[in-house]
Amino acid sequence: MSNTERDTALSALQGLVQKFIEEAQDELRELWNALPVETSEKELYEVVGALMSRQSLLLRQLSLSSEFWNFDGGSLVLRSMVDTHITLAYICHEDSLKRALAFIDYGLGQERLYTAKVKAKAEADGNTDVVAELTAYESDLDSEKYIHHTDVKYGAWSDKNIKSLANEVGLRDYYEATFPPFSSGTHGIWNHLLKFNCSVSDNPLHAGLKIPKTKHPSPDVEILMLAAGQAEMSFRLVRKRFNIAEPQTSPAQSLDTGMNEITAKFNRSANQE
Amino acid sequence: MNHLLQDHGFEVQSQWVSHERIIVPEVLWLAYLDEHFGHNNASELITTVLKSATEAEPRVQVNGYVSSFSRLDDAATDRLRFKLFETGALADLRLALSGLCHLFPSFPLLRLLGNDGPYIVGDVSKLKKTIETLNDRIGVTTTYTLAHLFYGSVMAGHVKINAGLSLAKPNSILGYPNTEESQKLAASLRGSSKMLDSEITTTDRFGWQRDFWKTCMEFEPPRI
Repeated sequence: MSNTERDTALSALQGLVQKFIEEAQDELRELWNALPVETSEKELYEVVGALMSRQSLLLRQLSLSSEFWNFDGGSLVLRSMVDTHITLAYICHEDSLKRALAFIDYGLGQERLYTAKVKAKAEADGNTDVVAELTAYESDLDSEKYIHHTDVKYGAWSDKNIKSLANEVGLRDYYEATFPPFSSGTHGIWNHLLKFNCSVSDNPLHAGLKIPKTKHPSPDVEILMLAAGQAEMSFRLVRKRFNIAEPQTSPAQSLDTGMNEITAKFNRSANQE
Repeated sequence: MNHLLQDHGFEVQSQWVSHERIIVPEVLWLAYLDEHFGHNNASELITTVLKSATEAEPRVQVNGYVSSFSRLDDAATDRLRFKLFETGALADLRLALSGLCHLFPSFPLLRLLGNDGPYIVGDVSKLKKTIETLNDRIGVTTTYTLAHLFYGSVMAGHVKINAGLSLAKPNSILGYPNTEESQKLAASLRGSSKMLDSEITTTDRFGWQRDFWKTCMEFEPPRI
């Protein structure tokens, strides 16, 4: 393949990704606008909308960062998307409002706890500017929920770990296939490092020593496709929960089709050489 | 095996012995001799050395692991040197192992052989090549080296073999790797090599393995 052909293929890929990002944003907007938002269940819609936004924005950020299109960096984003999908599924499954409220309370409690710790440290250090700033921030938090109504909860927001949540909503296989490997990447566990961050020295004097990798992996569009698939699953789940019709085609499907066309063109050019 | 013993009430402690990190530095000298003199002559020389060591100091075990020579005190080492000098084996050892004596100040045979052998340019290259060869656990050179280790200890009276075992047919090694019998023997040698002397393979009591790899890293540091 000539340089011109390669540039053409790259340009086509960039155009495809840009189109995909716009379609994914439109999808979020259309889905939110179709939700039967009720003020009596305001918190449920807030949580569902925020979780969908998280999927959409994580996908956008990954799409625009081809340096992360590999299993090493990509697992950081994918693990978060899996986590978000399971949370969304659990909230949508049953007792939705109650669960959404528990989710909100937990988050606000965590924010209160963190703020209190930082403020106590600033007070001890005599840092009056930071204390004043945090006091103002605590007042802002009061508009969400007064401090005397906010419980700080230890453990998980639902009192269950993410695996239990997945089991309860029928996502056991999904969890098993995605969560452990992406978590290993996120936490930098040895099974991940062994594959992506070190390699055995080929010098016999080093006794099989594993040395750090410096070479960046080549971009793999499969990671982008996986992320697109995660977002699509979440959006489909929300549509089903709120009885919203599925669109004819999704951004992920368009991306898949476009990617196949580019690959076919790329392969044709390579075969002609 | 461990599970069988545990099922019968034995308390079993198992420890992984790395072929690459532990066995290779211990048997490297045997590979050097094998390469220099060929299988048969090397075998005779190794038998002579180990038998002489037993005669020089019957109270300690000196086997094919090079660290085991550290068990000899200075007087026993002098007696062994004299015996090897009488048989002519000392000169052969000095010739074949001079590279290791030059490269490693803590080489356990340095006290016995001294450092008077010829210095050969390319000693490090030879060292690398030999380690690489030995890292191939099922390779022909490795198998013969382990045979030297095991049968040297047999000839020196440190190991007895029950009839009927693959190990009781040392000549089958000649067919390695083409005959099934030789493959069974090679597998037995690989297993036995790690259990021959647990003090050396599980504790590195004399520090040779540690010093060996430290020196190797100094030759060519693992830079990235």
